[in-house]
Amino acid sequence: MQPMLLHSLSELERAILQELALYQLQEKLLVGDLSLAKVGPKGSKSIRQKLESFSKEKKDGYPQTFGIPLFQVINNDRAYKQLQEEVKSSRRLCLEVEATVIRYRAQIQKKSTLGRSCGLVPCKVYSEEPLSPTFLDNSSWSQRRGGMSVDSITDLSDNTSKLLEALQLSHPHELDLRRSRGKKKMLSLNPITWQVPRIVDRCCQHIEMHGLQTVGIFRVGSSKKRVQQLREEFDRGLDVFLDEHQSVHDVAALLKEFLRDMPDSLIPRELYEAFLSTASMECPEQLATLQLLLFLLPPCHSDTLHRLLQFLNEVAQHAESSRGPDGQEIPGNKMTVSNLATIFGPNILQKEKPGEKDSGAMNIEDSTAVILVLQRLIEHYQTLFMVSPEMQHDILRRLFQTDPDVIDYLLRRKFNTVLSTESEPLTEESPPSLLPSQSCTLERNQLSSELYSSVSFLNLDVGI
Amino acid sequence: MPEQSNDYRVVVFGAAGVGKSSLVLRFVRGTFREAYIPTIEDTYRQVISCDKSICTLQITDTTGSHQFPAMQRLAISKGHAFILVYSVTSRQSMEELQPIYEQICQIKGAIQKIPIMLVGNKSDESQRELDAREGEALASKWKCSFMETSAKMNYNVQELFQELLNLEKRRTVSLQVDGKKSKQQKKKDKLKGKCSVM
Repeated sequence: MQPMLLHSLSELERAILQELALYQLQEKLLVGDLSLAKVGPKGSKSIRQKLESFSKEKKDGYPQTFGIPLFQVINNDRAYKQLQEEVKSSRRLCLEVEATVIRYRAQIQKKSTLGRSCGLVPCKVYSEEPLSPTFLDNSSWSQRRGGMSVDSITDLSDNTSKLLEALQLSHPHELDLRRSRGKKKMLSLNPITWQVPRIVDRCCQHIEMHGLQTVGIFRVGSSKKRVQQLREEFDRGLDVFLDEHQSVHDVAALLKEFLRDMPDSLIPRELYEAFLSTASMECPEQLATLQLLLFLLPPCHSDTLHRLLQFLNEVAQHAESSRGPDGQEIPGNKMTVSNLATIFGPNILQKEKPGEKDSGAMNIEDSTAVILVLQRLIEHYQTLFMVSPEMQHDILRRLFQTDPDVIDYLLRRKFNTVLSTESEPLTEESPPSLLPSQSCTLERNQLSSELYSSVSFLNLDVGI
Repeated sequence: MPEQSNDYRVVVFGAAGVGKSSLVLRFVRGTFREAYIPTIEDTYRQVISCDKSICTLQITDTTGSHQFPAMQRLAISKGHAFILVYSVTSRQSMEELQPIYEQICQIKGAIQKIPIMLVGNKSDESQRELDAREGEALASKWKCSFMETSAKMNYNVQELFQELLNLEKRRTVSLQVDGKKSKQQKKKDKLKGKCSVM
């Protein structure tokens, strides 16, 4: 078996992995606080929070992006995309109708006026023509994106719901929804959509394009007015495009603001102490623990964190000045991993809720540890988000006891994806695959024998 | 830690990368580093004399990179005197001081009694966006004192802190503990009156 990216595990496997990670962390006595007894009141608290945020929304005119839980941001994005597609397809229809009407009218006019002063109409046609190709382009692109999300609306079986009940930490909100819908459904056997909010993706892409060489990116101040404007646009749910005219510092500030204002900070508050406790560990132990803690995160948090860390790593790689291909000096942005960790630490690892008294001020004593932890996360994000073969075996073994019928399917999918990663170009949204290239050279029959051995290994193990 | 009542607290504000930490470190340790490292918050202590006895000068170096309004309010309400730093190479950094100044006015009320220094740092830099007159104009508008400094060249740094303490009228605070250096200080004061832009 090959190491696999966390987000390419199926939803079911991910849920099991969460449980395993929690179990292992509890053995290490790291997250004793998260024991199941304490989960109960937290669940009810989340409902209260929901109600609070709901009433707040009403006052502020439904913010779509800032200051609302991450899963809600992603849902809003998704809803917006779907709406957009509908609008676009209807608009495309309108355009087509309009075009035929205009053409028809032009023909009539040509006939009647015989080319005299008919300049106006063809001109109109001309002005509208360049629009339609871009519309078509965009819609086909977002349709593809929207298409991926269909699979993620998955549900729960009796078995797994018990399993998840023991793990309310994972995604309390989604869980509530599912429960109300009934218990007869299943967790998906396919990977969940890559859950990163539009605003994070857009900001990262913009800075990757325009800001990697900017000295002090994320540190230098921004225009408060322009950031506020961008924020309002995102909050109104508009499709905000960030182009090269947008100052990178504004975009950087926007990203920081989004993370800071998340009511459930990117690394959930419940895990704050646990993450911080890794600061004093020796390196290999530290990384192993951090990985388990990352496995505990709800998928949308984990995916967004992955995207962000990947991006910060990229920024840090441009910290030093370097030589271009022609020998000219490319200035560095001076934002090393530790600088970025200093800036992002308090935004990602929050102890207090934003808006609460002295939030941030309370963080000061922990700031060294916060910075150190985030530094490790940025430096090692690649390995941290990989699920080792041993861990995958554990997941399958666990599943063998609860849902033996799905194992075959999962194994098949696993080995198929190993093969297909070579042939399929990665989509824009998925992070780079980290599978070693040699895996692609494996032959089919080799694979099936490996598959067989994995299954028999599982059988044996459970037999004993 | 219980706070001593006779601490004299100076808070340094300013945009990211204008040289707040550099000024403070130059003053406290006499060193300068080229490194580019953001600050969250640091506090330095030094013994000074106050009303003929000894007290602690506590210098709080704040962050320019973060926006923690609660922390900023806390620092202002605890502070006795303020240094507002901009970089002469960045007009934006001067503009970013405005909301901080307004917040100080709001929290402290009677602004005339609060020692505030407006500081244009990096005066050694050749690529200026602001000349000294603009700093002076802003200072007179804000009814505070103004000085250009260079932490790198150690220009006007000691003088900055001395002047700030001189502005304190509610009590007599001085950087000198033993009074031996007072002559030297007077000389410096004279020089400072004529300081010109490098």
